[in-house]
Amino acid sequence: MPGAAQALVPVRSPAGHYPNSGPPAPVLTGACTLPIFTHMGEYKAEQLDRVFSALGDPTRRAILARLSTGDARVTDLAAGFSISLNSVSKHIRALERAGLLRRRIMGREHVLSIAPEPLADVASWIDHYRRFWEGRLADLETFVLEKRRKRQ
Amino acid sequence: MTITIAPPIVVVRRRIPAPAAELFEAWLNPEAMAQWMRPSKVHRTTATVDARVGGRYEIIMEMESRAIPHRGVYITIDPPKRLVFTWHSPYTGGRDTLVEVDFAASGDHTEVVVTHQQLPEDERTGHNEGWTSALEKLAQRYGKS
Repeated sequence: MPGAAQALVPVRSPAGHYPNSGPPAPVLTGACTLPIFTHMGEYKAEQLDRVFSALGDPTRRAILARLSTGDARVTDLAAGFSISLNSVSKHIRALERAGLLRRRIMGREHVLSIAPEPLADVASWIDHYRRFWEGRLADLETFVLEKRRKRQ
Repeated sequence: MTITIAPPIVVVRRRIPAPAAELFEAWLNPEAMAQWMRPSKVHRTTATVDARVGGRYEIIMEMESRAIPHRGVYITIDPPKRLVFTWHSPYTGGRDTLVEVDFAASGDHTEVVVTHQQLPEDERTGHNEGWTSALEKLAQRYGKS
């Protein structure tokens, strides 16, 4: 499992560049391997897509952030949000569909825990494109400077 | 266990000692793109560009075993300050993503900022929705205000 050995360190997110950004969200970091980019099957792509959709919402990110500190009962989790239990439940279901949450039923209680594996895929995606664009901008600089040098 | 959560977004910036106009031009010129849109494992890049809002581009990156197509549509073309386009490749889960490029001149340097993100669910090209309307929505939200 790619995420297992990663050091997960909070890092400030690029706040202000994301339309829905609230307070700076911490970022999943770590030395990422890129399993999904070498043999990316359609299933994996769809799964990743669901994960991205789920993470696109600030409330859902807040739910995950809460669960990253420990498992929680649905009722306790909902109590921490100003929106209705019904709304929280919808967000929880979206996170479950994305494979980001696990639900255990213990008697009458539903206990939620975070499933970290898909987050490692997101970190891989971010890491892949960060490297890609850093490389492109470096090559853009080389290209433009070379062109200027030739012209002189 | 400490797990932290990020919105799916990549922001990369670079300060380059060249005028914004020259850098901007290199983003829309197929011959220029063939050279700098070429990661180290890619032995050849070919690009076709229809450089107008609503126009399409295609960048094919040829690797040893396969060719990787990147395609999209221009949302905003505002030289030499801002360029916004969709980005679709095998690495985007078969979906459109959004790339915004901002060029900020300062002295004889230009800071180029690339913001690459997933599109929110409701702004994707829906199956039941015409491309034009999706493009308009995108332009409204990400285009020049």
